[in-house]
Amino acid sequence: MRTPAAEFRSASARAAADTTRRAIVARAIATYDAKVAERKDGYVDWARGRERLRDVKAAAVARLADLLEEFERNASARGTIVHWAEDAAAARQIILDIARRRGVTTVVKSKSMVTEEIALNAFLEKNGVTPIETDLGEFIVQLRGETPYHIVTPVMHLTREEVDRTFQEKLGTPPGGSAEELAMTARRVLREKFITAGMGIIGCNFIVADAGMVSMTENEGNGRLSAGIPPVHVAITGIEKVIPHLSDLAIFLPMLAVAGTGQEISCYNTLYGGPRRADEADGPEEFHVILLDNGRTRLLADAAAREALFCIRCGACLNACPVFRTIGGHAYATVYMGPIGSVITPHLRGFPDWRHLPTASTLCGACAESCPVGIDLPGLILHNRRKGGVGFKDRVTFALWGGAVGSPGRFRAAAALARFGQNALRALGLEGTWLDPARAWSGTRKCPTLARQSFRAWWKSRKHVPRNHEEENTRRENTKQNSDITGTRNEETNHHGNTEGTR
Amino acid sequence: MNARENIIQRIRKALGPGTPPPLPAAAGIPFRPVNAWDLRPRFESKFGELKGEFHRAANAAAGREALKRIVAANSFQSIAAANHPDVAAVTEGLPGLRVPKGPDAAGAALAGTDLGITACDSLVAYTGSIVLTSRTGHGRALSILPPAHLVVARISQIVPHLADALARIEKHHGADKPSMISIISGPSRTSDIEKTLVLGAHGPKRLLVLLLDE
Repeated sequence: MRTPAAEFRSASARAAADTTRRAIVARAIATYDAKVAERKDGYVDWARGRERLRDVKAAAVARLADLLEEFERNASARGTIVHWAEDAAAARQIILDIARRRGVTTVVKSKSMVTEEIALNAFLEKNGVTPIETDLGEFIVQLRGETPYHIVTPVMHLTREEVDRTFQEKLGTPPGGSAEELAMTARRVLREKFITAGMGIIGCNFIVADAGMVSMTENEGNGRLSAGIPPVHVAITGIEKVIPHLSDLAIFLPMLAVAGTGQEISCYNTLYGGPRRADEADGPEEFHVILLDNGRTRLLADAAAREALFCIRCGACLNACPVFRTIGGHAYATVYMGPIGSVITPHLRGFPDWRHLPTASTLCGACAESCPVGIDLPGLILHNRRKGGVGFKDRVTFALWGGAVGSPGRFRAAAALARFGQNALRALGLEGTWLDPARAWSGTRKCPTLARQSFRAWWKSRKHVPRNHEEENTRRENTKQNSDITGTRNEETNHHGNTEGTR
Repeated sequence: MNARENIIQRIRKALGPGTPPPLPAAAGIPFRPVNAWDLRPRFESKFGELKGEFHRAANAAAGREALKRIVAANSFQSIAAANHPDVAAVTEGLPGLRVPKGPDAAGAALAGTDLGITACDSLVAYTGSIVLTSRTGHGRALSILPPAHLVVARISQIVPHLADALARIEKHHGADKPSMISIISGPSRTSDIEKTLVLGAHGPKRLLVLLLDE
């Protein structure tokens, strides 16, 4: 049984080599980037909006217990049944118990990463309840028996032809369907399910404490249908999604839309606060909200990692990340991929198995720049690396590196050795082979050639070009006074008669 | 101890003692302001960008005529309307109309409906959005199941920003809020397949607004 780290190494190498797939993903991200840039331009001050989101989330997380209790009070007052689930198994059982009590055989569900996290579908199927994904992307994922590629756009890696082939295989549709025809097929197939299902399950984007309602963002309307037609409505959410006030949505919803899909606002943003009321024409008989911990309190307890709980799951960091763009979402083999995935997965699922994820980062900071809530993702990734511990091989590597750069003399020697080594390997045709110590790089990349002469050596050898006669005289005088400092002092410093070592 | 107690305790333990920082005071919004004279033009423009269909009438009588024309032009045959005075005012005399009550309002009964007509709580000019609830929307299914959805609105219902719409909901309902509040921004859509925009993914393919000037 291979470790997740070993699986990740081979899966990511395979994915990186799949340039066709990478091009498809790149096109999708390029479309997204253009729309996001345009939307951000429309803001008077996007940066101020980010600060605001962060301030609200920070305040909410700092009061998490109080706000969750407030939510429970306000929600219960209007008939919502609030459940608390400590882990995935507990959450699954709560849902199954409701389904059994109500004789539910079919469930329609909207896209929810939390339901992926608790592996709900397989569990329901095993227990005689059929879960039906209704979001078009998740519907396709379910037909293909795969997992979502991205937390917001589940099939960004597929072409229309691939979706068309899947529909032909699994639904018996004729070939050559356009994107519209494929979407209409899904609409037709799923319509009947919305009407006959015994339960609708939705995920949530926010828990609104003062209103006692949960908020769900979508574009297709499948969430609205899942929450509107079946007699039992279930919403499941991580406990960290609390915001204090209904009014906070006025800024969270638009910024979530921009960062998530490059839209000004998503098509349907809906708040649910109970089953059907006496004066309402229709609606579910029962409404349940499941508040899930599943390791989030562990994240909370790590004060340095706590801001990971500010995440609103927009997916912007995935799109920005050069690692995600190269290896795609499946290689991570986790529910949450990309930078946020590397941050939370080791805390939620254990460092021993998942500490390799935060090492798959260049710490370029693109994620932090893209995050609408201003989470310091590179900082959290670094924190995870320290927490995960540095392995023996890395310790040796960094010790050697530290030795090599520890003094100018050793650095010169190391550079000379590297130059010699590269020339020798190339002359013998051994670059990139198992004899090459740099094969992790040179095996798949064209390595730059180390310069024949170091900058330092070149600097020492070059002649000074005087700017004018006076400067030249002053320089000659000063140079006589300075003994061993050559080539590192610039003209200006000499001119001002600074004879102290100012290297 | 039960799950609730365990989780609450773990949270309190994780956060430690001491008072948390104060909740941020209401701050300025980072969106451009909408002038009063621009409310209707801006809504109309944004709603159009979202592929909504905008219609306007001077008053309820003109609204009735406009609605008859819309229904005829689109051959809407089976029409379900919300039980709301704003809707009643413009649907008087409309052929094929019914106001679903009881089990007729449920999803299955609405399956063959061509057009659902509801009222709304407000229209948001900045984004071109419609805010309605399970009260003004006549429950939940009527504004999402039929392939076309028409919203009857009055010009006084247009507000500048989403913040204003939410404030109206709070003011109007207080603690006794409807079970569903929905902010609708255009007809249903998806871009899941190769980022190609398709309308009418599951919700209505067509979204219409009939705005009355009084």
